[in-house]
Amino acid sequence: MSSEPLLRVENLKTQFFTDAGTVRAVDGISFEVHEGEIVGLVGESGAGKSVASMSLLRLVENPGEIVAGEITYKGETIFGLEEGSDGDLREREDMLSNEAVRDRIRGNEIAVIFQDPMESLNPVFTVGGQLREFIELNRDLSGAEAKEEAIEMLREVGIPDPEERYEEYPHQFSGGMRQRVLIAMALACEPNLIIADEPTTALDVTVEGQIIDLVDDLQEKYNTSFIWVTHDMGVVAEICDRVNVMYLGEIIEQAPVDELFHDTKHPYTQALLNSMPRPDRTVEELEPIEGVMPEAISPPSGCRFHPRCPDAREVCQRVHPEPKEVARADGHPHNAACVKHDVFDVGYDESPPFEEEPQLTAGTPGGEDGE
Amino acid sequence: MSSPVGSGATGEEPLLRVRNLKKYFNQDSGLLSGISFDSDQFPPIDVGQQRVKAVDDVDFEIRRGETLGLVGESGCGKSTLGRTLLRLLEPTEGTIDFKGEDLAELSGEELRQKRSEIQMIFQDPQASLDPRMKIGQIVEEPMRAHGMLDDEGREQRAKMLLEKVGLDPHHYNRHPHAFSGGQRQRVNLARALSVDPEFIVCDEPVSALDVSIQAQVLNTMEELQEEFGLTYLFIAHDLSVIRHISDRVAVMYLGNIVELADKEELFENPQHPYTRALLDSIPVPDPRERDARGVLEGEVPSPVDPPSGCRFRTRCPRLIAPEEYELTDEEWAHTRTFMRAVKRRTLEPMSADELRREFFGGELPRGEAGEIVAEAIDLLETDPESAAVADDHEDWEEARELLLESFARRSICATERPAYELEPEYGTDPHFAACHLHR
Amino acid sequence: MAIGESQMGDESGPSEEVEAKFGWRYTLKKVMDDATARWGLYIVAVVIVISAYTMVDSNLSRITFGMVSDFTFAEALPIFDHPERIPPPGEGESHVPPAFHADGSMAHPLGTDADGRDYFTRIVYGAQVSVSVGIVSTLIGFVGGTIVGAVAGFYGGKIDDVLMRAVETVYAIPPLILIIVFTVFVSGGSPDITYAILGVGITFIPVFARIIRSEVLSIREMDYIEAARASGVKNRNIILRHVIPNSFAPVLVYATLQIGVTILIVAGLSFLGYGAQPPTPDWGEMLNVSHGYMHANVWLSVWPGLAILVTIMGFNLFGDGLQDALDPRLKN
Repeated sequence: MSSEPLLRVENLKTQFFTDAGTVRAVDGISFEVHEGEIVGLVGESGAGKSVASMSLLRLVENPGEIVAGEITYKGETIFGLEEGSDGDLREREDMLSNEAVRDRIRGNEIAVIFQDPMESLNPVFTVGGQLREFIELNRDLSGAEAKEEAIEMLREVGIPDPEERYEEYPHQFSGGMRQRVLIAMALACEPNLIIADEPTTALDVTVEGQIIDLVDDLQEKYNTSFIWVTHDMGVVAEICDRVNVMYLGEIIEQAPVDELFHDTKHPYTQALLNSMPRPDRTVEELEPIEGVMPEAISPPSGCRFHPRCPDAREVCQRVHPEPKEVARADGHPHNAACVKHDVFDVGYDESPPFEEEPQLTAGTPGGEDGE
Repeated sequence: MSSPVGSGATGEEPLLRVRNLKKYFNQDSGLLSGISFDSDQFPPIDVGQQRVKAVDDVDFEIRRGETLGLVGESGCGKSTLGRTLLRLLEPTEGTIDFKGEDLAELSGEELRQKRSEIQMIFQDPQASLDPRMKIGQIVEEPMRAHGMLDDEGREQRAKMLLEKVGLDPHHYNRHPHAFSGGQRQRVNLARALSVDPEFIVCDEPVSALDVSIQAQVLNTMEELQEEFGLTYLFIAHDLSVIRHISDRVAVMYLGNIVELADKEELFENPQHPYTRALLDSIPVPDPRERDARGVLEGEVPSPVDPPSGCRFRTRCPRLIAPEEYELTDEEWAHTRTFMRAVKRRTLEPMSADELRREFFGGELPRGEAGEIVAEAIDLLETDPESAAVADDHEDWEEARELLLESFARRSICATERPAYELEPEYGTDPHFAACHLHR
Repeated sequence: MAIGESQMGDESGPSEEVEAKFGWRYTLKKVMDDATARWGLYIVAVVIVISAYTMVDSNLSRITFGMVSDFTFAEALPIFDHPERIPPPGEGESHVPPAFHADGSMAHPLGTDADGRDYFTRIVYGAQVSVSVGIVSTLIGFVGGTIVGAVAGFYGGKIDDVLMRAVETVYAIPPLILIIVFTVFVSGGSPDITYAILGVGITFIPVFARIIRSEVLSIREMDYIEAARASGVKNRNIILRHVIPNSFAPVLVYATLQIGVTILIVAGLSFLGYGAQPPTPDWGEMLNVSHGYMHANVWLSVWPGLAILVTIMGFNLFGDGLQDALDPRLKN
């Protein structure tokens, strides 16, 4: 594995400009994906993980906009801003044009698998036709060659009788089969990176198991990297190599998967794990996290999790922590955005405990981010 | 044939006892329904409904104060079962004995009045509350329908219930859209409780919620159960949630209950291959437990024409060999795999030798079974030179029929519907398993 | 905000802005924000006010039952003349052009008609027929259609089959035929505006019934309907309290747009002689009459035509704006 990451994201910020205010859906996240690895992007709804993954391919539409950050893929700048002569931010010279992103990157280099296969497949065209069209567009093959390739891909993802099913329509496939088709579409153009946005959430657990197996096999075979977006910690444990945990637009913990579960460094991650029932043993008492994730329009001051954090101190309300390395494992850093770790050095131990009840309104005292 | 009747440790009468419950749906509707074109006969018109057998002959009981978990994957009929219990759907056959009365027999007005004793909580927090009504009104509606209290009394009670479920009673006049999913589910809870029911059917009440919110709502539901002495039928597909909240668990597959036991017993000592497959498939939130996952092959059969006998037999890794062939375990395993590959057409074109090697390690089973297999291989083999495509399809069909007819359909799993009661390893409740492995 | 579930996450009180995204005030605000819709609303408001005013003065029953009334306002205000009284020979002057013309004067801002009557007054008073008939007919269609569509959609089965076949039969009949049938068989031969109202209204029932029925079909599947049944609410209460209020919105929009069409139809009927009868001023009737004087006085056809045009445009612009304002997809 080369040391240069396949994809590097630095300080990505995506915002939505609505009547009600500016929604800071993704507020400064940084992570990397290396060749051949599966990186998890975990969070509950509202954390911003889907927006983040869509931003990577510049698929965010009005009223959303990427307002800051740098996205580099294989050395090329997918997105980057610089300060212009008038002080405003404008797109960088070396940033790829829309056409370049559409033609070269999307589908070809970076592919996406969406959550709901029924929504992603056009119901009035045959499955085979859609797959073939995809291949034709992205791989410069003739119609007949693309059709052969499509049938091969269908077989590859485990669809029985691919020649016949090529002619069928999406509604004739079950949910699991449709998802396999989407995987086939993603893989058909031999991308280096696949962004999978909750691909198994809508599936039954036995079907989910089949899909996870399939992805594992294919990943070994083609050495594709994955960004796996999900809210299911079980799936994360099953399939990911490294994990990024998101909360309210920020990444609050990054670690190799074993460390994330067995050496958790951020209270949110820990609380999340404690609030889940388990299939392998009976959990007598669930310990829910108090309160609800606030809206991304006006996040709490300081650490965004502090109103709900069992370990919160006064200083947490004032200091906004960025993820810092708090441990190392497996040659990879374990980062956490929590001031209780020494590396932050802001006087956590001396600070008195944070007493307020979880203020759950969007307008918490302080309202604005920052120190 | 035994059925999952547990007399319970206390010997008390169960609150709800369901017997032979069936719910079939007609596929077509309208004036010309039931008439279809059938070119194989004369006159080429076939009159007769195709029916979806969503719930097919289900027996169980629920005791007062317990939580019976009902788990299964999509299409198994668990939601249909829940709705049929409440007669939101009309049962096709069977009895629903609730405190001595058969709900299936009640007429319109009697039934409507009974509804104050059995309530339901729905899955979708968005769709289950009328967006144009205020939540106070929503909570009061069941009380109004049953003439409970007067206007003021209802308002008081509604506010009290809102507080009980963890909401601020001052939100009485807000509309549902102002609340989050978890809060809307609490409104659902308050509404169900407003008429002081004894039994609540919970249809996937936390499936649409985030994990941390799930925990909050589950805790609230448990508190309410204790405080009000409620009995729950908890329908879900998430085995982790079921494991946490249930006292006993029933597993459904394609309209049948395939296993029913004490919670701990079911999870630690599953006796049905489907239950085992389910448990093996769930990703465990622990990276040190990365087990084999995709253990089930194939797809769920259509509920219009479900498999005879045990409905799980078409995918069961433990399908029992037909007695007559006297096969060894290994021979049967090979034959079974081969038969299914043919059925699902997951075979790649191969010559006869390749087929023999691939599926039987070169050695076919002895006796009649071996002859049948050989015949099938003959039909299936693809000669790289000749390959007459036109025949292929018919040959496949023939081979498939031959194998299914000779093996699958002669197994006891196909000829008899299984139902067995076993001794549990954990707890004292009998363990019901619909699997002939226990014969 | 395409970020997962809409989060209010609030035990102490949702923000006011979110609360206001529902309800008439918000809808009105959205309509006012849209320029074209705003103007539509103004036009509609003006037309309705004028009609209401003139209706008070001449009273609608007069139109429907052919009684003579006072037109007191018309007499009192110098700007108006009596809309129906034909000036005796020698007093009035026919075919006077409008005020901005060389031969015109402010006594008759829009000129006079063939009988010497002030055209301006007749245009103003003509509004009430078009508008009231337009609104009443649409109302008939709306109410009738809602009842039929809601019952058919909710109960389904045979009730649905029977009702919808009946509805489709009515749909096949052109409004004119219905009106003629009423006129001939009910009244015994004399056309009257009442039959126009009834006939047009009934022909619109099928359209509304279809729209409501299709809305009801999808609402019927919603969990909250099942929840109401599970709670023991009676069917008729479910329809009244849950089904109809939630299927309202698209029909409301359609109704506003339909008023424009109705006005046109009524004008057409009057043009053919089946609507308002002389001397009742009515735009369609005025157009009809003006037909014969095209070469002599073209202004006679301009003003009623313009009035119809502006009124319909007003309703359409408003209806479009209302549709946009009510569209939940644009709500965020």
